[in-house]
Amino acid sequence: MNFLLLKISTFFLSVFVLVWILSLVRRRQLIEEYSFLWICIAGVFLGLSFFHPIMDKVAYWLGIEYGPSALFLFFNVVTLFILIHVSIQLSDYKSKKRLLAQEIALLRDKVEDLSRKMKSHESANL
Amino acid sequence: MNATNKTLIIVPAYQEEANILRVLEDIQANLPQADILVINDGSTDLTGSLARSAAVKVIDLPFNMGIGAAVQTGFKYAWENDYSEAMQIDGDYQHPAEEGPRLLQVLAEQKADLVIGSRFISLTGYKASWARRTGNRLFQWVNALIVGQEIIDNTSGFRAYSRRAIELLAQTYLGEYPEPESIGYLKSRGCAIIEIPVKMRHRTGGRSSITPLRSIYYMVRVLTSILSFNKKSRR
Repeated sequence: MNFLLLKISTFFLSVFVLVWILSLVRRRQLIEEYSFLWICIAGVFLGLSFFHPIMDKVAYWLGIEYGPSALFLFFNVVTLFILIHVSIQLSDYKSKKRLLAQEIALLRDKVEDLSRKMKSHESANL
Repeated sequence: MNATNKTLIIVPAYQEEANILRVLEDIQANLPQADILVINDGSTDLTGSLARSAAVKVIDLPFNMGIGAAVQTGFKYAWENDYSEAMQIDGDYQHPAEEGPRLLQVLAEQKADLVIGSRFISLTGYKASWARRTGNRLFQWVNALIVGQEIIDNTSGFRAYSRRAIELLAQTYLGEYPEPESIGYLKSRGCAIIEIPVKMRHRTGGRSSITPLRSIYYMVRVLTSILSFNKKSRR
């Protein structure tokens, strides 16, 4: 079977993702740490678009008859792991955000108390 | 740090402008010796300014974070300011403060760490919704299984806490449904828990957060969060 269309679309998709990610990094909308993952993924797809027999081999080993199906499976699994990873980080940020907000609320209360005390102290000294 | 003999009433409140003043008056009348702390959980109505007009301490959270984070802020305050005991009275006027002294008395006399004011232990004249009763029964089983103590009203927020419970709950975030979760958590830390019957009012202003459909969602989330009991510190 000839997967020319698949090859071409995978190629353009990979290049598009790569260029997009790099421009996001350049504009500092995405920090380098996160860009790495996406650059890797785009790289893998770029590679696969040139050497699609690799995918066919992998598909054959997995008992998947249709090569592109293996590609979809691969991409779905990768996406799943990325989403779980993002959820973990989101949870971490949420709990840090909560700690910061509580700290701010308690500190603001202390600051208000102190400035009230200072004012009464000043007026007592006058 | 030595705790002095002080009691802090923690009142978590979100959008309770209809109730907050009578809640505070009720507490001031029935628990005159206690300090009151309102945790204004990012309300956009008059909750915060009305509470301040009642001459009580108010801490404003910068945005709405839910009951778990609000009450935990109260525990942090109580811990830092050396309170020897704390009581939670919700800002929706469901918990009658006249029952408060009894909770504190049991806390002191029986050396408990958590005293729960229960609306299900006989003769309290309270009829909970079907959803709440079913949910409670489920928590009863789960908590009985995990902590080995049968608690009848797991969702009651009307509670008194010892200094040790204050310390533990200041350090540990108990998610968005802290009431059922804290029972298992405190028990796993060797705290003594006592449940006593109290009268409760039906809410008049506002809406309860528990509806039949939401209660399923609520139960799944609480059961999930109970899984993390034995994690050392969740801050």
